[in-house]
Amino acid sequence: MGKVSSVSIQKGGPGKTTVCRNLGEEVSETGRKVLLIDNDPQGNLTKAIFGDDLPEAIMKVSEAVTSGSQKAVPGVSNSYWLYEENEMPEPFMVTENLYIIGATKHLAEMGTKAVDCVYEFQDKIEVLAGYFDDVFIDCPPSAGTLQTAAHGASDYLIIPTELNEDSIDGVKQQLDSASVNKKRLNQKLDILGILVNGKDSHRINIEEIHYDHLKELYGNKLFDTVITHSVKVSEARSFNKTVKNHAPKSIQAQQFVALTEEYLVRSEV
Amino acid sequence: MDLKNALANHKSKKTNQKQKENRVESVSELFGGNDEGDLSILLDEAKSQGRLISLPASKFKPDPSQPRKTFNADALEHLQIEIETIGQLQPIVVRPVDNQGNHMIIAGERRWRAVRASKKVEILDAVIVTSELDELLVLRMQIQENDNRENVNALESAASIMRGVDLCKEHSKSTDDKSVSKYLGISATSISKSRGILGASDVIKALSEDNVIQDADTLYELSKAYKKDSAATEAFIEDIRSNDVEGNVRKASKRLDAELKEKHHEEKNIKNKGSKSTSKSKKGTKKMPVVEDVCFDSDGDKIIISLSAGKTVQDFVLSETAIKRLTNKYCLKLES
Repeated sequence: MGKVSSVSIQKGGPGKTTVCRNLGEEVSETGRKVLLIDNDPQGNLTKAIFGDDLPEAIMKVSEAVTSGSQKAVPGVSNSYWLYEENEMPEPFMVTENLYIIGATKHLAEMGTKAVDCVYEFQDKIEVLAGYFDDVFIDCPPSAGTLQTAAHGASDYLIIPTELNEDSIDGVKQQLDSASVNKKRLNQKLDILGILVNGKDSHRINIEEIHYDHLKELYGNKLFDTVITHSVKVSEARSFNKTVKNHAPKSIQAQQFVALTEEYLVRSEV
Repeated sequence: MDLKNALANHKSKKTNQKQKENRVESVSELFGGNDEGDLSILLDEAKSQGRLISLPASKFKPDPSQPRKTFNADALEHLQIEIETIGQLQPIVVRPVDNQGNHMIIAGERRWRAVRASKKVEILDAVIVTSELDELLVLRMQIQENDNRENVNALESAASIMRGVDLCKEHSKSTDDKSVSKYLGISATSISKSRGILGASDVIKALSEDNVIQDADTLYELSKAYKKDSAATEAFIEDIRSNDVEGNVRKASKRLDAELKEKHHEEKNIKNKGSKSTSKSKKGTKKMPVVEDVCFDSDGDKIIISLSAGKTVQDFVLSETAIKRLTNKYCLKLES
């Protein structure tokens, strides 16, 4: 069985999608078979890989004959089907070892469904984990059905955070919802690590204070690796590439390699 | 990847596991064997193996360890007439004692007594059981039957439940009350109640023996209360026997237990406080006021007591209970 990790925090902006995309692809390049699951109706992870032209497997667009307007429905590789009874999405191959189940706005509907879909999701991830070495779930920036389902199906949580008041608050809230979900839904859920992302490469006093505070609170739960801020990261996203492919010599590319090593060590235990 | 099939397999495996965890229904499951335990199967098997016998009543003897010890004469006569007119519906259950055809009765002593008393019927049908497992089956049937009847002797019923529990625990791997209770078809609480009643003091057991109370709940409440304060409970039992308890006896017993519990707490608190106040008085910080004069006064039909301590005088109205206490315990004569 592969290891399932949710990249998850209620706060928007600390880099859930960036971490998922770069860590996932980096792990796949070590020869492991990786599945990325976009569990956010905004579909950022899906777009980070395909750009705006989504393959039909993720979203089928058909011309409606009568009205002349376009109609989009989820394709066979859409994470929408992870929540529907008697359906099973087909992972879409990106590279030899990297697969994705993508998301479109259709997923937003799940936030309003009955609790049952949480168990559907759990069952399906358990099956999918049998076919992959590592599964990464990119979560939406809110604590709702989708995040709960992801927590219910995961072995680990990876919590990215920036070094500011609100993000650190978000880490605390995320740990609270994780402990509730662990108790009620999934006893095997564990925190793999808290990742500091977007730290300024220069020493900034307030960031150092926040960092020390995090260290004091969570100790060795903090990843040793810190991803520093760079325009290269957002450039890479704009070109739908990983940081390593876009700027192989950048510090951030090295940081993601270091993060990957740390991920492999921590998840092997 | 045939993911859809994989999902279907995964789901069915999961639901099967869950169901298995929740159910303990047959003997085989409880004991981890393969044979299905069912009374009708037991009878069929007995028939085919020649273990279903018909013998004169004199060949059977009651089991001294049998839970049921008292028998209602009217009901026995009723049963006797029933057997004489329509015959014996269910075979009694016995085990062999010797080679001369004598058998010990495991279940069915009432039917045996009815036939013994009858002049028209002499022969009794019986099944010979061979193992304790069979006995457990019969016991389970009895317990469930008792559950539906009224006025079953509470002590006997508790004893048969505990015998069933012991047999279950002896033979099964799972030894907790919960799985045993599932098999016997009763709740786990009634097992612990039975245990409580059997372990109760003789004063309480006598209530059942003398047919004063046959309600398991009441006896259980009393046994709990007895542990907290034996004297108060004995006094209460005296009241029950002399019909001095008003209303529902079960509720009253429950109340008694709750009251004793509270009293226990209070005493504890007072003890704690007492030790505190002595430590305080050592430091000389707190002094009890000394009552220098007491006087009784009446206001209509109320009696007022006024206590004077130093410069303060405080009046209290006496309740009826307080008046009783004063007149009985301290031999004061109070007239309003």
